[in-house]
Amino acid sequence: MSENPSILLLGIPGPGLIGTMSMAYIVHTLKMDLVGEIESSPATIVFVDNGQIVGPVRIYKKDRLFAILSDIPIDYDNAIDFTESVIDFSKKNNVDLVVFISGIHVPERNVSNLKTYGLVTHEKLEKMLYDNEIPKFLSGVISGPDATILTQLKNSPIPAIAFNTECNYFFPDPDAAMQTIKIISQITKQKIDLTEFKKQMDYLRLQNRQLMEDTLNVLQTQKESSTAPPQIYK
Amino acid sequence: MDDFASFIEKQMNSFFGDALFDDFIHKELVPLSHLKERHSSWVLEIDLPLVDRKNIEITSSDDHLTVKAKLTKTFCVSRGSIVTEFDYFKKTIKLPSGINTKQISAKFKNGILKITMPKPTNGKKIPIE
Repeated sequence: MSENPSILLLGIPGPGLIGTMSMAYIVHTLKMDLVGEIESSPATIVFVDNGQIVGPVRIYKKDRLFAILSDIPIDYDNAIDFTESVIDFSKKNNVDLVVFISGIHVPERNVSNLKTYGLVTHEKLEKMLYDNEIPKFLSGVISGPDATILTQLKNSPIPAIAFNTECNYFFPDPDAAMQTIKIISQITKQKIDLTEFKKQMDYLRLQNRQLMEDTLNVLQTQKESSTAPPQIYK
Repeated sequence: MDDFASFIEKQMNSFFGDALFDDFIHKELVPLSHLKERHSSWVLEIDLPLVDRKNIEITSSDDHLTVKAKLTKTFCVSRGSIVTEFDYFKKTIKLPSGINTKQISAKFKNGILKITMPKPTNGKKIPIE
């Protein structure tokens, strides 16, 4: 991998809403430009911002850093198409590395010392984990859309890393999102000031209640249709 | 309000403004909650950000439990030109059957209220055919 790789960050609503909260802050703080959207057909939701129609899954860019942020949960039926679009976009834009952000449920975690685990699709990326002192996700189970996305990424030629931070699975977890932002800052070598994020942590929990509820409904649907016990992490 | 807060609020209001629980009907925020079943108890967790422990009130009747909590700051949500102010969280849940309300205990840590409800240990014996 080059000294200055082109990186795509991927954040969708999942456990603790880590992907969404951390990605929204990164996009906002780095002042990344909105450059496109991933559209579903038919579109089920759009919103209007300053008189413009904007979709819920958006692509941002700054220099050699891309970010895909979804404000709606990606359900099981759409996860394959969504990931194919991500891979297609990555190929067309010469992305060297896809970074997927999510969480793992750890009920009795130490909030002041949360851990992020790394999972790589290509062996050569293990050095990146080692150099950044990020522990490897050694064993456990990942389910739901995360599993579909990771499988697709594993089968694609583009190297990918998944970062899973210890979190509260059921409630928005800004502490875990903040830990994730620190890891992203380290990996991308971008300085990200967390002052504003720290000030907004309680409000993030308040404002994201509905999205958390919707996300759990999507994850719960998949749990019920699963034949195996739904275990995110053990 | 800070930039990032406005950014998030705009997104949330655009997507979920009308669906946001029934907060706007009663002008009370409905907190997220999660009920877990353990071997000998039920554990109800309620997410209460922006709340001090001293401002939480838990009451129970025979089959219901209500949690009311005052926010440390008024939380405002604007939709168009209408601003709604919220000062309280409130949630009432139906208790699992057979719970002895005198044995219910509660802890509050990191903005999460954890209510433990021991399962009943006595009951009718059921013969095996």
